[in-house]
Amino acid sequence: MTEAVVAIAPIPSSRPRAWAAAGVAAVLVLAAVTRFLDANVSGWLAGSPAAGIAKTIEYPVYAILLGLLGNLVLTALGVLDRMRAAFRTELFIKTGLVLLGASINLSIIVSAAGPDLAQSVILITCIFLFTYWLAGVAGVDLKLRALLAAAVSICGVSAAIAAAGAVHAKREQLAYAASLVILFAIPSIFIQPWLASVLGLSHVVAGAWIGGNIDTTAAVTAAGTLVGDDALKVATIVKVTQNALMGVVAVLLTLYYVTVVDRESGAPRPGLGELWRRFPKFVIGFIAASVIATLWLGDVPKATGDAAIAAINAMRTWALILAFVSIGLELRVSSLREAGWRPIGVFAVATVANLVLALGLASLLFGNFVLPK
Amino acid sequence: MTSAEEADSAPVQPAEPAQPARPKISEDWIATILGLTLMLLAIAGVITKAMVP
Repeated sequence: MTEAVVAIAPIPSSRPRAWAAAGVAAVLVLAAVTRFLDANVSGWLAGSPAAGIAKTIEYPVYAILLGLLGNLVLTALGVLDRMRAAFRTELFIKTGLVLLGASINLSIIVSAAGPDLAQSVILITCIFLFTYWLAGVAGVDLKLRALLAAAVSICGVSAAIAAAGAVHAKREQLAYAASLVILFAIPSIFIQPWLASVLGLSHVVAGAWIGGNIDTTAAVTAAGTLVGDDALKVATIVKVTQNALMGVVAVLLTLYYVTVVDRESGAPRPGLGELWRRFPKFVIGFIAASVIATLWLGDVPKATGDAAIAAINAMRTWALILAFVSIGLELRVSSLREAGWRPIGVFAVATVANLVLALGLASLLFGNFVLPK
Repeated sequence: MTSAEEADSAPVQPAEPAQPARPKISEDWIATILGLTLMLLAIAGVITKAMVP
Protein backbone atom coordinates (compact mmCIF):
# COMPACT_ATOMS: atom_id res chain seq x y z
CA MET A 1 0.00 0.00 0.00
CA THR A 2 2.72 2.39 1.03
CA GLU A 3 4.71 1.42 -2.05
CA ALA A 4 1.77 2.24 -4.28
CA VAL A 5 1.41 5.69 -2.72
CA VAL A 6 5.13 6.30 -3.11
CA ALA A 7 4.98 5.15 -6.71
CA ILE A 8 2.08 7.49 -7.56
CA ALA A 9 2.88 10.53 -5.46
CA PRO A 10 5.80 11.98 -7.45
CA ILE A 11 3.81 12.07 -10.71
CA PRO A 12 1.67 15.17 -10.05
CA SER A 13 4.57 17.22 -8.75
CA SER A 14 6.73 16.31 -11.74
CA ARG A 15 4.06 16.92 -14.41
CA PRO A 16 1.57 19.41 -12.98
CA ARG A 17 0.97 21.11 -16.33
CA ALA A 18 0.14 17.84 -18.05
CA TRP A 19 -2.39 17.00 -15.33
CA ALA A 20 -3.87 20.50 -15.49
CA ALA A 21 -4.20 20.13 -19.27
CA ALA A 22 -5.93 16.79 -18.76
CA GLY A 23 -8.26 18.52 -16.28
CA VAL A 24 -9.06 21.26 -18.81
CA ALA A 25 -9.82 18.58 -21.39
CA ALA A 26 -12.14 16.77 -18.94
CA VAL A 27 -14.02 20.00 -18.14
CA LEU A 28 -14.37 20.92 -21.82
CA VAL A 29 -15.62 17.45 -22.84
CA LEU A 30 -18.20 17.40 -20.04
CA ALA A 31 -19.27 20.96 -20.95
CA ALA A 32 -19.71 19.96 -24.60
CA VAL A 33 -21.85 16.97 -23.59
CA THR A 34 -23.91 19.28 -21.33
CA ARG A 35 -24.51 21.70 -24.22
CA PHE A 36 -25.49 18.80 -26.46
CA LEU A 37 -27.99 17.43 -23.92
CA ASP A 38 -29.36 20.92 -23.22
CA ALA A 39 -30.00 21.43 -26.93
CA ASN A 40 -31.41 18.00 -27.72
CA VAL A 41 -33.13 16.29 -24.77
CA SER A 42 -36.41 18.19 -25.14
CA GLY A 43 -36.45 17.31 -28.87
CA TRP A 44 -35.87 13.63 -28.14
CA LEU A 45 -38.76 13.61 -25.66
CA ALA A 46 -41.15 15.62 -27.86
CA GLY A 47 -44.63 14.14 -27.70
CA SER A 48 -43.94 12.15 -24.56
CA PRO A 49 -45.40 12.99 -21.12
CA ALA A 50 -41.94 14.14 -19.98
CA ALA A 51 -41.62 16.71 -22.79
CA GLY A 52 -42.93 19.62 -20.70
CA ILE A 53 -40.52 18.95 -17.86
CA ALA A 54 -37.57 18.33 -20.21
CA LYS A 55 -38.08 21.78 -21.78
CA THR A 56 -37.73 23.45 -18.39
CA ILE A 57 -34.66 21.57 -17.19
CA GLU A 58 -31.79 23.95 -17.77
CA TYR A 59 -28.11 23.31 -18.31
CA PRO A 60 -27.07 23.57 -14.61
CA VAL A 61 -28.84 20.25 -13.96
CA TYR A 62 -27.01 18.41 -16.76
CA ALA A 63 -23.72 20.13 -15.92
CA ILE A 64 -23.80 19.26 -12.20
CA LEU A 65 -24.87 15.65 -12.91
CA LEU A 66 -22.18 15.14 -15.56
CA GLY A 67 -19.63 16.81 -13.29
CA LEU A 68 -20.60 14.40 -10.51
CA LEU A 69 -20.25 11.47 -12.91
CA GLY A 70 -16.80 12.72 -13.90
CA ASN A 71 -16.02 13.15 -10.21
CA LEU A 72 -16.85 9.47 -9.55
CA VAL A 73 -14.89 8.18 -12.54
CA LEU A 74 -11.79 10.34 -11.96
CA THR A 75 -11.82 9.54 -8.24
CA ALA A 76 -12.02 5.82 -9.03
CA LEU A 77 -9.06 6.23 -11.40
CA GLY A 78 -7.18 8.11 -8.66
CA VAL A 79 -6.49 11.18 -10.82
CA LEU A 80 -9.08 13.73 -9.66
CA ASP A 81 -6.83 15.54 -7.18
CA ARG A 82 -4.07 15.97 -9.78
CA MET A 83 -6.49 17.72 -12.15
CA ARG A 84 -7.90 20.19 -9.63
CA ALA A 85 -5.93 23.13 -10.99
CA ALA A 86 -8.23 23.06 -14.04
CA PHE A 87 -11.47 23.34 -12.07
CA ARG A 88 -11.75 27.16 -12.03
CA THR A 89 -15.31 27.39 -10.76
CA GLU A 90 -15.10 30.98 -9.51
CA LEU A 91 -13.47 32.36 -12.63
CA PHE A 92 -16.09 30.76 -14.88
CA ILE A 93 -18.96 31.93 -12.67
CA LYS A 94 -17.78 35.52 -12.45
CA THR A 95 -17.09 35.75 -16.19
CA GLY A 96 -20.60 34.41 -16.82
CA LEU A 97 -22.11 37.04 -14.54
CA VAL A 98 -20.22 39.87 -16.24
CA LEU A 99 -21.64 38.62 -19.55
CA LEU A 100 -25.10 38.46 -17.95
CA GLY A 101 -24.86 42.23 -17.44
CA ALA A 102 -24.94 42.71 -21.23
CA SER A 103 -28.43 41.18 -21.42
CA ILE A 104 -29.81 43.81 -19.03
CA ASN A 105 -31.02 46.65 -21.21
CA LEU A 106 -31.59 49.54 -18.81
CA SER A 107 -33.83 51.37 -21.29
CA ILE A 108 -36.35 48.51 -21.15
CA ILE A 109 -36.44 48.82 -17.36
CA VAL A 110 -37.01 52.59 -17.67
CA SER A 111 -40.01 51.96 -19.96
CA ALA A 112 -41.88 50.45 -17.02
CA ALA A 113 -39.95 52.24 -14.30
CA GLY A 114 -42.75 53.17 -11.90
CA PRO A 115 -44.60 49.95 -11.11
CA ASP A 116 -41.71 47.75 -12.18
CA LEU A 117 -39.08 49.21 -9.89
CA ALA A 118 -41.54 49.57 -7.01
CA GLN A 119 -42.59 45.91 -7.25
CA SER A 120 -39.02 44.67 -7.57
CA VAL A 121 -37.64 46.71 -4.68
CA ILE A 122 -40.52 45.90 -2.29
CA LEU A 123 -40.59 42.22 -3.27
CA ILE A 124 -36.84 41.68 -3.07
CA THR A 125 -36.55 43.54 0.26
CA CYS A 126 -39.46 41.76 1.96
CA ILE A 127 -38.75 38.25 0.66
CA PHE A 128 -35.00 38.49 1.20
CA LEU A 129 -35.41 39.61 4.83
CA PHE A 130 -38.18 37.06 5.49
CA THR A 131 -36.18 34.15 4.03
CA TYR A 132 -33.01 35.21 5.83
CA TRP A 133 -34.92 35.40 9.13
CA LEU A 134 -36.76 32.11 8.56
CA ALA A 135 -33.55 30.30 7.66
CA GLY A 136 -32.01 31.69 10.85
CA VAL A 137 -34.91 30.35 12.92
CA ALA A 138 -34.49 26.96 11.20
CA GLY A 139 -30.79 26.94 12.09
CA VAL A 140 -29.47 27.08 8.53
CA ASP A 141 -25.79 28.00 8.09
CA LEU A 142 -25.22 31.78 7.92
CA LYS A 143 -23.80 31.75 4.40
CA LEU A 144 -26.35 29.32 3.00
CA ARG A 145 -29.01 31.65 4.46
CA ALA A 146 -27.74 34.49 2.26
CA LEU A 147 -27.71 32.25 -0.82
CA LEU A 148 -31.24 30.96 -0.25
CA ALA A 149 -32.57 34.46 0.46
CA ALA A 150 -30.91 35.93 -2.66
CA ALA A 151 -32.03 33.03 -4.86
CA VAL A 152 -35.69 33.06 -3.85
CA SER A 153 -36.08 36.85 -3.71
CA ILE A 154 -34.10 38.01 -6.76
CA CYS A 155 -33.39 35.80 -9.73
CA GLY A 156 -32.49 32.27 -8.78
CA VAL A 157 -29.15 30.75 -9.73
CA SER A 158 -27.49 34.02 -10.86
CA ALA A 159 -28.39 35.73 -7.60
CA ALA A 160 -27.16 32.76 -5.58
CA ILE A 161 -23.84 32.99 -7.47
CA ALA A 162 -23.53 36.73 -6.80
CA ALA A 163 -24.40 36.20 -3.13
CA ALA A 164 -21.86 33.38 -2.89
CA GLY A 165 -19.20 35.78 -4.12
CA ALA A 166 -20.26 38.43 -1.63
CA VAL A 167 -20.40 36.22 1.49
CA HIS A 168 -17.68 33.72 0.51
CA ALA A 169 -19.96 30.71 0.54
CA LYS A 170 -18.78 27.17 -0.14
CA ARG A 171 -19.19 25.53 -3.53
CA GLU A 172 -21.45 22.87 -2.01
CA GLN A 173 -23.76 25.57 -0.67
CA LEU A 174 -23.98 27.14 -4.11
CA ALA A 175 -24.78 23.77 -5.70
CA TYR A 176 -27.44 23.17 -3.04
CA ALA A 177 -29.09 26.56 -3.63
CA ALA A 178 -28.95 26.16 -7.44
CA SER A 179 -30.55 22.71 -7.23
CA LEU A 180 -33.42 24.08 -5.10
CA VAL A 181 -34.03 26.95 -7.52
CA ILE A 182 -34.41 24.59 -10.47
CA LEU A 183 -36.46 22.07 -8.49
CA PHE A 184 -38.99 24.71 -7.45
CA ALA A 185 -39.09 26.51 -10.81
CA ILE A 186 -40.41 23.49 -12.71
CA PRO A 187 -43.87 23.22 -11.05
CA SER A 188 -44.24 27.03 -11.03
CA ILE A 189 -44.23 27.08 -14.83
CA PHE A 190 -47.50 25.20 -14.95
CA ILE A 191 -49.10 26.26 -11.65
CA GLN A 192 -48.82 30.04 -12.04
CA PRO A 193 -50.40 30.37 -15.51
CA TRP A 194 -53.21 28.06 -14.33
CA LEU A 195 -53.74 30.10 -11.15
CA ALA A 196 -53.67 33.35 -13.17
CA SER A 197 -56.49 31.95 -15.28
CA VAL A 198 -58.49 30.75 -12.25
CA LEU A 199 -58.10 34.16 -10.56
CA GLY A 200 -59.09 35.97 -13.76
CA LEU A 201 -55.94 38.12 -13.85
CA SER A 202 -55.28 40.37 -16.84
CA HIS A 203 -52.29 39.34 -18.95
CA VAL A 204 -50.27 42.32 -17.71
CA VAL A 205 -50.88 41.51 -14.03
CA ALA A 206 -50.23 37.81 -14.65
CA GLY A 207 -46.94 38.69 -16.36
CA ALA A 208 -45.85 40.91 -13.47
CA TRP A 209 -46.76 38.11 -11.05
CA ILE A 210 -44.82 35.48 -13.01
CA GLY A 211 -41.77 37.72 -13.46
CA GLY A 212 -41.77 38.63 -9.78
CA ASN A 213 -42.11 35.09 -8.48
CA ILE A 214 -40.46 32.55 -10.77
CA ASP A 215 -36.71 32.53 -10.35
CA THR A 216 -35.09 31.25 -13.50
CA THR A 217 -35.27 33.22 -16.74
CA ALA A 218 -36.13 30.16 -18.85
CA ALA A 219 -38.99 29.25 -16.51
CA VAL A 220 -40.29 32.85 -16.60
CA THR A 221 -40.28 32.73 -20.40
CA ALA A 222 -42.08 29.38 -20.45
CA ALA A 223 -44.77 30.47 -17.96
CA GLY A 224 -45.23 33.88 -19.62
CA THR A 225 -45.65 32.22 -23.02
CA LEU A 226 -48.40 29.98 -21.63
CA VAL A 227 -50.39 33.08 -20.62
CA GLY A 228 -49.81 35.24 -23.71
CA ASP A 229 -47.62 37.82 -25.47
CA ASP A 230 -48.35 40.76 -23.14
CA ALA A 231 -47.75 38.56 -20.10
CA LEU A 232 -44.42 37.41 -21.54
CA LYS A 233 -43.32 41.01 -22.21
CA VAL A 234 -44.18 42.25 -18.71
CA ALA A 235 -42.73 39.12 -17.07
CA THR A 236 -39.47 39.65 -18.96
CA ILE A 237 -39.26 43.33 -17.95
CA VAL A 238 -39.86 42.49 -14.28
CA LYS A 239 -37.29 39.68 -14.38
CA VAL A 240 -34.67 41.89 -16.04
CA THR A 241 -35.22 44.54 -13.36
CA GLN A 242 -34.72 41.97 -10.64
CA ASN A 243 -31.54 40.76 -12.38
CA ALA A 244 -30.26 44.35 -12.43
CA LEU A 245 -30.93 44.76 -8.71
CA MET A 246 -28.72 41.74 -8.05
CA GLY A 247 -25.69 44.05 -8.16
CA VAL A 248 -27.18 46.27 -5.45
CA VAL A 249 -27.92 43.27 -3.23
CA ALA A 250 -24.36 41.94 -3.71
CA VAL A 251 -22.95 45.26 -2.50
CA LEU A 252 -25.27 45.35 0.53
CA LEU A 253 -24.49 41.73 1.40
CA THR A 254 -20.76 42.43 1.27
CA LEU A 255 -21.22 45.40 3.60
CA TYR A 256 -23.32 43.38 6.05
CA TYR A 257 -21.04 40.33 6.16
CA VAL A 258 -17.86 42.39 6.50
CA THR A 259 -19.18 44.76 9.16
CA VAL A 260 -21.44 42.41 11.15
CA VAL A 261 -21.33 38.66 10.41
CA ASP A 262 -17.60 38.07 9.83
CA ARG A 263 -16.44 40.71 12.28
CA GLU A 264 -14.87 39.24 15.38
CA SER A 265 -16.28 40.50 18.67
CA GLY A 266 -14.28 43.45 19.96
CA ALA A 267 -12.56 43.95 16.63
CA PRO A 268 -12.47 47.52 15.30
CA ARG A 269 -14.99 48.52 12.66
CA PRO A 270 -13.60 47.52 9.24
CA GLY A 271 -12.44 50.46 7.15
CA LEU A 272 -13.04 51.30 3.51
CA GLY A 273 -9.93 49.32 2.56
CA GLU A 274 -11.35 46.12 4.05
CA LEU A 275 -14.72 46.73 2.40
CA TRP A 276 -12.99 47.21 -0.95
CA ARG A 277 -10.88 44.09 -0.42
CA ARG A 278 -13.99 42.00 0.20
CA PHE A 279 -16.14 43.64 -2.45
CA PRO A 280 -16.89 41.25 -5.35
CA LYS A 281 -15.24 43.29 -8.11
CA PHE A 282 -16.93 41.39 -10.91
CA VAL A 283 -20.11 43.31 -9.97
CA ILE A 284 -18.37 46.35 -11.47
CA GLY A 285 -17.97 44.36 -14.70
CA PHE A 286 -21.64 43.31 -14.52
CA ILE A 287 -22.78 46.95 -14.21
CA ALA A 288 -20.32 48.17 -16.87
CA ALA A 289 -21.52 45.48 -19.30
CA SER A 290 -25.12 46.56 -18.73
CA VAL A 291 -24.37 50.25 -19.31
CA ILE A 292 -22.25 49.58 -22.43
CA ALA A 293 -24.88 47.24 -23.92
CA THR A 294 -27.71 49.71 -23.23
CA LEU A 295 -25.86 52.60 -24.87
CA TRP A 296 -24.79 50.48 -27.84
CA LEU A 297 -28.22 48.92 -28.43
CA GLY A 298 -29.76 52.39 -28.60
CA ASP A 299 -27.44 53.22 -31.49
CA VAL A 300 -27.61 50.21 -33.83
CA PRO A 301 -30.32 48.47 -35.93
CA LYS A 302 -32.35 45.91 -33.96
CA ALA A 303 -31.10 42.93 -35.99
CA THR A 304 -27.46 43.85 -35.31
CA GLY A 305 -28.14 44.29 -31.61
CA ASP A 306 -30.08 41.04 -31.34
CA ALA A 307 -27.30 39.08 -33.08
CA ALA A 308 -24.63 40.45 -30.72
CA ILE A 309 -26.74 39.82 -27.61
CA ALA A 310 -27.45 36.27 -28.81
CA ALA A 311 -23.70 35.67 -29.13
CA ILE A 312 -23.04 37.17 -25.67
CA ASN A 313 -25.79 35.00 -24.16
CA ALA A 314 -24.27 31.91 -25.80
CA MET A 315 -20.86 32.75 -24.28
CA ARG A 316 -22.50 33.33 -20.89
CA THR A 317 -24.14 29.91 -21.10
CA TRP A 318 -20.77 28.32 -21.91
CA ALA A 319 -19.10 30.08 -18.98
CA LEU A 320 -21.79 28.94 -16.55
CA ILE A 321 -21.77 25.39 -17.94
CA LEU A 322 -18.00 25.25 -17.32
CA ALA A 323 -18.66 26.55 -13.79
CA PHE A 324 -21.34 23.99 -12.96
CA VAL A 325 -19.31 21.12 -14.45
CA SER A 326 -16.43 22.22 -12.20
CA ILE A 327 -18.79 22.35 -9.21
CA GLY A 328 -19.90 18.77 -9.97
CA LEU A 329 -16.28 17.65 -10.31
CA GLU A 330 -15.39 19.12 -6.93
CA LEU A 331 -18.62 18.33 -5.09
CA ARG A 332 -18.62 16.17 -1.98
CA VAL A 333 -21.99 14.58 -1.34
CA SER A 334 -21.20 14.44 2.37
CA SER A 335 -21.03 18.24 2.43
CA LEU A 336 -24.48 18.45 0.86
CA ARG A 337 -25.80 16.02 3.46
CA GLU A 338 -24.46 18.27 6.21
CA ALA A 339 -26.91 20.98 5.16
CA GLY A 340 -29.82 18.59 5.84
CA TRP A 341 -33.46 19.03 4.85
CA ARG A 342 -34.20 22.31 6.63
CA PRO A 343 -33.11 24.56 3.74
CA ILE A 344 -35.66 22.80 1.53
CA GLY A 345 -38.47 23.64 3.98
CA VAL A 346 -37.24 27.23 4.23
CA PHE A 347 -37.11 27.55 0.45
CA ALA A 348 -40.63 26.10 0.10
CA VAL A 349 -42.15 28.50 2.65
CA ALA A 350 -40.28 31.46 1.15
CA THR A 351 -41.50 30.52 -2.34
CA VAL A 352 -45.13 30.52 -1.12
CA ALA A 353 -44.60 33.90 0.61
CA ASN A 354 -43.06 35.24 -2.61
CA LEU A 355 -46.03 33.90 -4.60
CA VAL A 356 -48.58 35.66 -2.34
CA LEU A 357 -46.73 38.97 -2.00
CA ALA A 358 -45.93 39.11 -5.73
CA LEU A 359 -49.63 38.56 -6.52
CA GLY A 360 -50.65 41.41 -4.21
CA LEU A 361 -48.02 43.79 -5.61
CA ALA A 362 -48.71 42.88 -9.24
CA SER A 363 -52.46 43.47 -8.79
CA LEU A 364 -51.87 46.76 -6.99
CA LEU A 365 -49.10 48.21 -9.16
CA PHE A 366 -49.87 46.77 -12.61
CA GLY A 367 -53.69 46.88 -12.44
CA ASN A 368 -53.84 50.03 -14.61
CA PHE A 369 -50.50 49.61 -16.39
CA VAL A 370 -50.51 49.99 -20.18
CA LEU A 371 -47.69 48.20 -21.95
CA PRO A 372 -45.64 50.59 -24.15
CA LYS A 373 -45.98 49.67 -27.83
CA MET B 1 -7.45 16.91 6.68
CA THR B 2 -5.72 16.32 3.36
CA SER B 3 -5.05 19.13 0.95
CA ALA B 4 -7.71 17.68 -1.34
CA GLU B 5 -10.31 17.78 1.42
CA GLU B 6 -9.33 21.33 2.25
CA ALA B 7 -9.77 22.30 -1.36
CA ASP B 8 -13.21 20.66 -1.42
CA SER B 9 -14.52 22.67 1.47
CA ALA B 10 -12.92 25.89 0.31
CA PRO B 11 -15.21 28.91 -0.01
CA VAL B 12 -16.17 30.27 -3.42
CA GLN B 13 -13.68 32.99 -2.60
CA PRO B 14 -11.08 32.19 0.07
CA ALA B 15 -12.32 33.87 3.25
CA GLU B 16 -9.70 32.97 5.81
CA PRO B 17 -8.30 36.12 7.40
CA ALA B 18 -4.80 34.72 7.18
CA GLN B 19 -5.11 34.19 3.42
CA PRO B 20 -3.48 36.86 1.27
CA ALA B 21 -6.04 38.91 -0.65
CA ARG B 22 -4.26 39.03 -4.00
CA PRO B 23 -5.52 35.80 -5.60
CA LYS B 24 -9.16 36.68 -4.90
CA ILE B 25 -8.88 40.22 -6.21
CA SER B 26 -7.01 39.23 -9.33
CA GLU B 27 -9.56 36.53 -10.15
CA ASP B 28 -12.39 39.08 -9.88
CA TRP B 29 -10.56 41.46 -12.17
CA ILE B 30 -9.60 38.69 -14.61
CA ALA B 31 -13.28 37.71 -14.86
CA THR B 32 -14.27 41.35 -15.34
CA ILE B 33 -11.69 41.97 -18.07
CA LEU B 34 -12.41 38.64 -19.76
CA GLY B 35 -16.19 39.14 -19.67
CA LEU B 36 -16.03 42.72 -20.97
CA THR B 37 -13.53 41.75 -23.68
CA LEU B 38 -15.76 38.93 -24.92
CA MET B 39 -18.73 41.31 -24.87
CA LEU B 40 -16.87 43.98 -26.85
CA LEU B 41 -15.71 41.37 -29.39
CA ALA B 42 -19.32 40.29 -29.84
CA ILE B 43 -20.41 43.92 -30.25
CA ALA B 44 -17.63 44.45 -32.79
CA GLY B 45 -18.99 41.49 -34.74
CA VAL B 46 -15.89 39.35 -34.30
CA ILE B 47 -17.55 36.64 -32.21
CA THR B 48 -21.13 37.03 -33.41
CA LYS B 49 -20.46 35.26 -36.70
CA ALA B 50 -18.80 32.34 -34.96
CA MET B 51 -21.43 31.90 -32.22
CA VAL B 52 -24.62 32.50 -34.21
CA PRO B 53 -24.61 30.87 -37.66
